[in-house]
Amino acid sequence: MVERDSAFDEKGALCCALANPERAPLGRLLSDSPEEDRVRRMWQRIDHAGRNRGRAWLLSYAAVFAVSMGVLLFWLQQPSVGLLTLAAGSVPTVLTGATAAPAVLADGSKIELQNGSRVEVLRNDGQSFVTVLRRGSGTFDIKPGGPRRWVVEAGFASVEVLGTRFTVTRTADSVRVSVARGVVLVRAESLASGAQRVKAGSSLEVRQRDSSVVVPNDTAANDPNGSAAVAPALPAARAGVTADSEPRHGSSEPPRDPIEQLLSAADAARRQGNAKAALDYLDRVVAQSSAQDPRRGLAALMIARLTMEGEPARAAKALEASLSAVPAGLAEDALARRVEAEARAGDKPKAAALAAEYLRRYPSGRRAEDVRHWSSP
Amino acid sequence: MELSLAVTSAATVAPVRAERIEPQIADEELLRRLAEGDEWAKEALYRRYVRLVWGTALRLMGCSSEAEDLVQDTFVEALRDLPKVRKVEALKGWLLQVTVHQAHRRFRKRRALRRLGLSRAEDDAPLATLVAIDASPEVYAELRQVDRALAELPTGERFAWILRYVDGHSLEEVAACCDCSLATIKRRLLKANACVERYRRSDGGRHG
Repeated sequence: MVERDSAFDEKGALCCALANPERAPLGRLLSDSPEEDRVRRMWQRIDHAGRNRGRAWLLSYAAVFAVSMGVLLFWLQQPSVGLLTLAAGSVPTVLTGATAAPAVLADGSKIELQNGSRVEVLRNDGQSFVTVLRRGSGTFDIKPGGPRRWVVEAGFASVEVLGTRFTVTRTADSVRVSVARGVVLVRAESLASGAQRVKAGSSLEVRQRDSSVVVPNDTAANDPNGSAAVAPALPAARAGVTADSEPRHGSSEPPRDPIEQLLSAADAARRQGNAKAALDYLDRVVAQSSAQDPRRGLAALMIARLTMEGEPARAAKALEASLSAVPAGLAEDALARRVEAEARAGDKPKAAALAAEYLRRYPSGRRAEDVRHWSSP
Repeated sequence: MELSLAVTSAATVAPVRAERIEPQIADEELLRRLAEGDEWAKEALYRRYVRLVWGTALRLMGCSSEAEDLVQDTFVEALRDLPKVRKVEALKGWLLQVTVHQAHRRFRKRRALRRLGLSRAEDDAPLATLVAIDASPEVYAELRQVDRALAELPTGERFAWILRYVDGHSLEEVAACCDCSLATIKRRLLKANACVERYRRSDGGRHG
């Protein structure tokens, strides 16, 4: 339960916290107590770990000895892992699509190139085999279980191999990765979090980012009412830090992901007092994010917050469609909000059913009193 | 009254559920019972401090699944090393120290796994998602800016900022939790504040 100090100015909460952290920490605004289910689950794991610790000591001594002997024997029998050569014995440096036959490597992996394509080897040692696809299309059939990490660079995207067969096609402004077997990791600045896993049977096309807006159709421009509440333009994409590099001090680039851009635009609209525009952005977050994306749940909660009094049916609909995506810590409040929304919208039977569900899940919940109020006849 | 009767019962019959009795028993008594090998006292101690440890873990990690693992690691270590706690007044601070230490380890491991694309954990609990449902949109928007700033910070600065400004610990407590000097903590907070302020003052979307 978040404590509320009557003198505590919510709007100035952050300023207060930064000025007087011991008196008004931000934690007072947060609601992050664990549910009883979670508490119980965590204890079971802790208790189990504690009981197994004693037995583990004896087993670990025996295991360490056995593994050490195994490693020593394995190492003595293996040839040293150095350069990866072609099957014929030569070391590959440049591969082109001049011939129809694939290049077969000593570890059983194959690289097939289309006519006019070119692959150069950037790094080749016992730990990694890094190539760059300069142009065209290549199919890489990597033998799984090898000692090396395979990477195919393709300009503004790179593909890391996790034991697969995949095809990379590079054009002037796009890189397409199609996976036939296994999984690859594609890294590019324009991807959410800078990287995306692509599984067998799937393809991913990465476009090079340009200076134009990357989010599709602005529905506010089609508003038949033609009101002045036009959503402000979204921030332009910019180059930024890739997800796997060290964080840069002082960089304040805007978010790259389209969903993040919509959420940022909604935040900006709300700060300007433009609720209509904010709702438009939030509707698009709900429409464009996946069913389990927690941001979808957050957007639904904000829609409910903004429309609860004026359009409770809209609030109820938003919550109903996205409740499963709400982060676990807000699930209780979201369900309580649904009860309120349905009651305000006039659907008392639904409000009562939802209230019963709330009280079943959270018998001592912090919103129990509100829920009972909204569901009373 | 019911709780007192339950305490008396615990002394003579089988232990009862921890959440019914532990609020009545001081830390000192719990530690004494633990030292005597009372298994029930372990769960009682856990339930007394799990909310504190969970809240800290969740805010530091920003991910509920990793926070759960962190809580587990913390209590496994704490229950093993409890004999080291000499003063019962130091118990809470010591638990927080263990939590922060374990969080550092997890963050290093997480960073390495993410670089290799092997981490499946999602950051599903940034501060903005933890805000109470009836908080104003302005507070929510401000916290999102804070989350973005915190994501840019190195681990030490991020942890120091959260412990100080979210959890409200004193500078000395933050230094103790992070196992470093007061001067180091002040330096980290200075840098972290500069980053947070930059994000708070910037417009959330740069209008093109």
